[in-house]
Amino acid sequence: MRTNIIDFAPVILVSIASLLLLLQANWRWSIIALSLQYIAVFWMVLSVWPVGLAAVKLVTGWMAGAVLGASITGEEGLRISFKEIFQELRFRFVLGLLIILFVFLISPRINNLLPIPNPFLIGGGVLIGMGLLQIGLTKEPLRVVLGLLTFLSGFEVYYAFIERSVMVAGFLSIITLGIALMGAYLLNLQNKGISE
Amino acid sequence: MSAPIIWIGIPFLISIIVWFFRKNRPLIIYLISGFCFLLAVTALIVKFGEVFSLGPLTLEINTTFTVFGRSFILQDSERFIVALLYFSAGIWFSAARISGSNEFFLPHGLAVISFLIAALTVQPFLYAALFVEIAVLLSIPMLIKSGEEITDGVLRFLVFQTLAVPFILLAGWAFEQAPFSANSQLQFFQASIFLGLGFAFWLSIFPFHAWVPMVAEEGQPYVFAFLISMISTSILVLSMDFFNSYSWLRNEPVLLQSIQIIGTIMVVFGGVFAAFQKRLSRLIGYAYIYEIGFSLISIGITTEIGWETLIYSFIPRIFSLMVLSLSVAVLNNNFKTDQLDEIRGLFYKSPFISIATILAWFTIAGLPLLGSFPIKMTILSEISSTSILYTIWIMIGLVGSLFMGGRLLSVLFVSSQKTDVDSQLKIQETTAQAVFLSIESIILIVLGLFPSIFISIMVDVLNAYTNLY
Amino acid sequence: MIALTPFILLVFAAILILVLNQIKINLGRLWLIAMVFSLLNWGLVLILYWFMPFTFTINNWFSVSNIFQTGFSFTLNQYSWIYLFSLSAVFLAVIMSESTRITEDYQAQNWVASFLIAAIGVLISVSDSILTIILVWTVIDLVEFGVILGTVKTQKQSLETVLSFVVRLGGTVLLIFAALYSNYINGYFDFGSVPFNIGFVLLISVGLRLGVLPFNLPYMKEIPLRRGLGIIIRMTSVVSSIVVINRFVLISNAESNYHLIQIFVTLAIAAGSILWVVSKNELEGRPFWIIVLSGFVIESLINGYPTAAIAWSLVLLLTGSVLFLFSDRSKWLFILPAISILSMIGLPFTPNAIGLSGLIGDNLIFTLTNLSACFVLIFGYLRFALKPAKNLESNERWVWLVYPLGLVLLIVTHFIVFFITDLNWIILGPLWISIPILVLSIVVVFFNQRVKTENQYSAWARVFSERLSASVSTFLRFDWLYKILWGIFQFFQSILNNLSGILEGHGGIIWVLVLVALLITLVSPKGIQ
Repeated sequence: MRTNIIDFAPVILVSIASLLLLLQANWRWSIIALSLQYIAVFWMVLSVWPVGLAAVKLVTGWMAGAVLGASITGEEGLRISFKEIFQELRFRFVLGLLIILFVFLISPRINNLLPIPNPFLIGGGVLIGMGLLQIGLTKEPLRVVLGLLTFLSGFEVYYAFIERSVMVAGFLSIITLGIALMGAYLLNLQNKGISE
Repeated sequence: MSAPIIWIGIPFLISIIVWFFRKNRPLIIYLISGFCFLLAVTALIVKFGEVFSLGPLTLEINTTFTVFGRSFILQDSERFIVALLYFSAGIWFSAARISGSNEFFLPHGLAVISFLIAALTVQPFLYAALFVEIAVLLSIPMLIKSGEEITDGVLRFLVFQTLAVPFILLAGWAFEQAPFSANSQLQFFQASIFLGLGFAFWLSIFPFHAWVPMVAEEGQPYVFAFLISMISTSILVLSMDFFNSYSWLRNEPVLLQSIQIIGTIMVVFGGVFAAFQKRLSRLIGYAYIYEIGFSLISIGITTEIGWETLIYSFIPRIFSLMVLSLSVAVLNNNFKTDQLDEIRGLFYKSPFISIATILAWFTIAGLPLLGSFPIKMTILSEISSTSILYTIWIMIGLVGSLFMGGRLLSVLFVSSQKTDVDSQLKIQETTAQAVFLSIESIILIVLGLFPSIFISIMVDVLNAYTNLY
Repeated sequence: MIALTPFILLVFAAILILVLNQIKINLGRLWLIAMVFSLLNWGLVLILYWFMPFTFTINNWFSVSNIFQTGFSFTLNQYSWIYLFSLSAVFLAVIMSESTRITEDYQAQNWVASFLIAAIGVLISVSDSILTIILVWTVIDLVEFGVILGTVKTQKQSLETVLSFVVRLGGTVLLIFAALYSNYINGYFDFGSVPFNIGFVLLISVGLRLGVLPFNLPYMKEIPLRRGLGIIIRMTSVVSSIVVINRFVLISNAESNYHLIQIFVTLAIAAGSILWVVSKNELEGRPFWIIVLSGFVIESLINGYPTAAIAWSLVLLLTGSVLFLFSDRSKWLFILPAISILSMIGLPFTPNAIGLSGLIGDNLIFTLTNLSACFVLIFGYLRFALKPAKNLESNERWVWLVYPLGLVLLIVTHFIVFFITDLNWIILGPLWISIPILVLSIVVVFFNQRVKTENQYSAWARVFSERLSASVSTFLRFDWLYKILWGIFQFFQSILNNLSGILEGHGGIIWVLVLVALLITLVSPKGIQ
């Protein structure tokens, strides 16, 4: 498969969106960043899957975002509570950049393992790395769920290139939605706790 | 009628129906536990894939159910695993009320079992990862105590179990590609790393184990023990499926040795960390780590004896975790604590909890006369015939867990007061608690004295895995 | 199955007594039934001698592993019979001596427990496979734990009971390790000949259970169950360990010998004998009697005299029981412990003539310590036997006959074992040891009587002995060592808790990922190639 410069566009989008997700303290921006991520995923998957099938990823991702967004109610739940201080943001930003750099550097090595074109390898890798970073840096249910969704979407990019089973794609969508639903359930519990 | 419909589809449907009536707990408990026992007994009696007569009727239960081109195949030899899962779940559910579990435990628990059995039976096997993940997602509401905050352990559980999915799917793909690859040896190796990581996440193998004691201490020990017992049993059976299907796995010495090393690390880790614990609930987590260590060592042995011990270990493990978790749950309900320092002399107040705790812990540790002793001895015997180093390390884990048993004895049986004021028995457990704890403790004792019982039940399971040895 | 007939008989008797007690049968009649059954048991075991050997095996208990292939095996042969017969005599003597205590509370329950423990004693004596020994050890440990815990009253005693159980469990774990080690070296486990490495572990295992290796005394004071049930539990527990080591033929040579073990055993013997002689009475000193004589058993084995080890075991059980059951006394009754101790002194053609030979080894220091300890032990025995106690004549008249008869039975049993078994132990023995010990013993008895009359000396001796006993036992109970160990435990606990804290804390997942990266790097394909 020939690598085109345009193929790197979703990679850039993914990097920006995932960085935004990592740094953003406002839940609305986080959900928007998640939606952008899924657009990038859709874009990358489009190069191997038909539009109809690739759109499943986009729709599922957006639905997941919507489910999560809908479960955050009230002013108290508006903000995701990590210390919004400059040092924290700077630390996260540097870590995020390091992850992107790391993925960029090891992508040829991953290429030995998985026969995926380099831009998509980097795109998926960035999502996986950022997802893991997100999970590792927080104990907040919403952030953990967002991290999981990011990680899974990165994997879905990889998997789309090596396996074209519609059934598996369907199941992965169910899992994406399931995680979002579970996240919504956890957020509801958290909201209840706050209101009580 | 096919077996997957009876033992997967119907229970799932029932779980959906009872979900709407989950607030009516006594009714639900009777209904679901009775249904589980029925499924277990039926699985034990009825042979899959054979015609049998029921009075004037002749029935046949097919082994296969196909949907969207994918098959669920429940072989005859697998019915013992199905029976075990449903039977233990039946007992687990029946004590749900005294354990303080929440309203989701029964409907979600039943659904979890049906998905786990679906994972065992689905072909191609890579769909198993997806079914297990659904089971995990369904289990989250059961783990959160009513009216309490979301805990870190539960989130970690969700994260680690979800991380398993990609690795298992990638392993499935890599194993399919490997025979056609120019460098198939390397490809197989990579596949096995994917597979290993997937199973490591599922079984919370070192270093992915940290969530286990965390969830154990976070309020729902009884549900937690149910979940890890069901998931680990299913995953271990699934691992047998992998080993049965791919000869490369069975014949790769580096892989097998790695499994043994990791198993030994887990036994040492579980045993030694358990010895230093201050809370009873965390012991459930370390018991699980310790037990999984022994299972991995069994797998690493790869002889007939190794696989047999793996299969036979399910029953004592499930029942000891059940008893331990029930006693911890009852203790938490009655005294609002499970700190060892705060339950000194518990035997004189709650003898049933104390004896059940001691019996369960010593069963897990491998004390002679109790259920897991013959299994642990067999594993040690097999390992000792090849390596004394591994034997010594495993013995260190064993000594650690027995040491914890000694600590438990000194905590539970030694009164907190220097005089003999509270050395008189004053039973504070309710009748229901006493009855359940007694019945389950008796099961542990019987399993220990007559281990041939579980051999006779599980002996046919290996028939489905003819390539293993 | 015949090997287990005494077991069946005793269990039946226990059930019968339990049932009869429930229907409120008179306690005197219950005692009579208990005595008849224990006498039957003793007679049955005696008769079985002429029909031996018997073997009973259960192969399919857990027929998966090699280590379980022999399954449960119970063999009644010349060696196991000695212990079985001795235990049944101790049991009979205990029941007969219960005639002096019939009116005490909970006697019927005690008899039921005694019968059950005696039944376990049968299993212990005839157990003949590693699996059987491991399981039977655990049974007796659990029973002892349960029975003692049910009778102790204070926090300290409960703690001591738990500690005792844990120490014994440690012994069982070491036995399991010895079996596994043997499996590693030989591919099987065999009692026949034990190489040095395995023998070393085995001796520590048994020594640990007996309180010899290292010298350990979980109980600061003897258990509340003093006579009766207490003796049966103690002796059965001791036999469970001794019966195991007596099966081994230890192989040692110049390069690999048991000197290290001998050092610890000799220390235990020396300390135990001092503590025995300074004890307040024979019951307080019972743990030391057991430790010293168990030490003699181990020494005899190491010195290559398995028959001497059996001889010392009999002294431990039978001679010891005569003294421990000697609760009701009269002037003429002293003759019984006096005769009994004769069999310990090792005079020519007496049961322990060969025992003294077992104490003589290559090393002069060990030999001298053993012989001195032997003398001290005899001195203490005589001292306790001569102490005033409850008068036998305060009991009913029939007790005057029955009670001494129980003690006589122990002495008779000792000689029956000695004369009818064919172990080549009817020998002259080392006269240069036995004669001086006899002379010294007579002198001691004589002086003891004299000291008794002089109050000033006796008071001083009592105070001195009590203080010595307290200080030596405080040191030897290793309380200081336990404190150090507790400190180490807490140190490790804090380290492990911190480690858990890191993995379970905020950055736990990152740590996990780092560890995974490390593991993958370690097992990367490059490494494999």
